[in-house]
Amino acid sequence: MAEISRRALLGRSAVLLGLAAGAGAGFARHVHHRVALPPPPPPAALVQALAAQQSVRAGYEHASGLPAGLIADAQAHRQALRALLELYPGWRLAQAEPAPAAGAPTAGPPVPANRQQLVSAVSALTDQLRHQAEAWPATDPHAVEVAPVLASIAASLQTHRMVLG
Amino acid sequence: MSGAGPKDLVVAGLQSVLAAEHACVYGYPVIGTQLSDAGQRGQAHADEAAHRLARDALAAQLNALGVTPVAADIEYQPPNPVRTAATAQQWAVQLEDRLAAAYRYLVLCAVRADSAPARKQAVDGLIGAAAGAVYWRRLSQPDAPTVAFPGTG
Repeated sequence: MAEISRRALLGRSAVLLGLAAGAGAGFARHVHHRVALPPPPPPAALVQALAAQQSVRAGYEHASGLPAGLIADAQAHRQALRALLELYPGWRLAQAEPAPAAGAPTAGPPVPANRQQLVSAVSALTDQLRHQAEAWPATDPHAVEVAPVLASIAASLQTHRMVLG
Repeated sequence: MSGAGPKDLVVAGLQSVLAAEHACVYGYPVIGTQLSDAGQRGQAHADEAAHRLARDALAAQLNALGVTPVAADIEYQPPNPVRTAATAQQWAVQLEDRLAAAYRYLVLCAVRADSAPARKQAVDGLIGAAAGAVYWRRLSQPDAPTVAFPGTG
């Protein structure tokens, strides 16, 4: 048996200790895997409001004898709702994805076919936005932008309902 | 407004609404004197009475919060001298628009204060003020009797 010198033994021990310490540190350290999680989807209430608003706007465009101001208001409402949705990264991501196949069903309610249906649709959207303006979570980081806009659109739609009769 | 507590925020919004109600209470009697149409005069009287009630209720609400309600100004200036029915109608529109703006500010204050009752009061008030403006706006600008965003003009 070859005799191991004291110096060699100390050196090997030092190497082994170093390896053990390194392995221990490696096991003990949490490894953070950076995974790109998609942002949460935009608030469903806003998406639904935009779909209902698009239905109302289409109803205005098909109706006859309406004051031009109502259609202009509806276009401004659409832009405002879209601007609110743009605040949410999940909406921006969804918009950047490829468009659904042609003929895919749309999520909004049907376009009002007559004046009575139009009044009902405007009333329903007014109530929907009013409720959201009152109940939008104050903890949402965009609540100070969202709630006043929804309240203003609800107020505008209330006046539309009055004009429509 | 940084550093203001929830109560301070709501009070600021309520005081803004009260100031706008003071203007309405001052303005509608003047408006009524320039209207020859009986229906319009009746509407001005009804609006004055409604705003007087709202003003008193707001003052009582602020008193209950331990706050001195903001006082009315000595006088209020219409956008144009009120000498005709048209200028009277324009002033009524302006008064209601400013009330809507005050209520919209209260919406913002209520969100920041996380006060659900104040927010409901604000949304109701904003919708009410917008509806109040429609009668007068239909007379003064029949082609555009509505606005897209009441309270922002």
